[in-house]
Amino acid sequence: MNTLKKAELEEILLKFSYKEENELEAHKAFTIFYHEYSKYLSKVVFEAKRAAIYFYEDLVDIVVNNSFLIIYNSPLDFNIEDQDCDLDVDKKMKGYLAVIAKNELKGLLNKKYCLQEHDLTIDDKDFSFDPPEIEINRAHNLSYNQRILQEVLLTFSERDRLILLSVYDCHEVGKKRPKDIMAWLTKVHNTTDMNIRKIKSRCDKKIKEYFERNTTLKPLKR
Amino acid sequence: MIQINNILKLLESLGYLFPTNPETVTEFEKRYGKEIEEIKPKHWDNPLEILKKGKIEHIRIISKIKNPSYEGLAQAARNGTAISDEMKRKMLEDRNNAKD
Repeated sequence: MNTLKKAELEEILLKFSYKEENELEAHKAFTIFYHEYSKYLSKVVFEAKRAAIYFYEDLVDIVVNNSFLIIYNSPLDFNIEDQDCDLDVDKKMKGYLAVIAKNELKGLLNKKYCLQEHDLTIDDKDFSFDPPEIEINRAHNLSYNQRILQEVLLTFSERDRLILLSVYDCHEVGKKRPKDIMAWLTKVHNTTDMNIRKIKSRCDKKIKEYFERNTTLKPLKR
Repeated sequence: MIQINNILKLLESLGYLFPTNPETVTEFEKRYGKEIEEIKPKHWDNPLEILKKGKIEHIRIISKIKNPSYEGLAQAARNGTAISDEMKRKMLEDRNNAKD
């Protein structure tokens, strides 16, 4: 899948940083960079935000394009270490793009939340509200733990699953959940902060119990 | 016992969350490799259009929701079937009558 080498990526980022001196070269580099990573990032955004995609026009493209613009404008924020091999750099760049896209999406959804209330209005005569479920593929090629997690996710209601994934999505070690995200969730699901916490705690417990029942790993005795 | 970090890693590798570290990127690619290749992003033929347009700061809502779980229950009550055309026509008629 990957074709770019570490040195090529370094050159691309360098050309971005010299865009004011040589715009033509920067543009060429941007085209190569976009062709290298846009498919991957589109898939990442699509899979992670299936539920939100239904409600917003061109969401995947907007998030992907904005993420590419951020790298184009601040190329030297991405760190390439001397010891990194071609493959390391490729994976790091993909992870870095995902972090940018995640933050970008959060920003866009928050702005939208501030701008507009989420009320149901059917103003199109042919429109009927029938949102799709988050698709859980009972796919093959999964590791044992992936399969276990898929199975337990399928036991949750669509609403609980959506809430759980949204809360996990903003999880940062040692930090409280962002207030704006919690406010967005309570508004969209017409529920309370306390209820969201309860759902999260209930789902966490189920996941842990399911893993305990279905794996040989046992909790350490104290 | 499975820890929160392991759950997060698994969710990233499955694509439910953004895969942000090399390990989950590898797993994600393993899972979706073929589908990734088949995607054609909107600006594939002219990426420079993105630079011309600049950053987009707002997104447009396609449909608005008030209580998705209520809608889910309504659909469940219909045994999971969508609203029929006949039913939609009747609902619209009722709504228009109510306006008059």
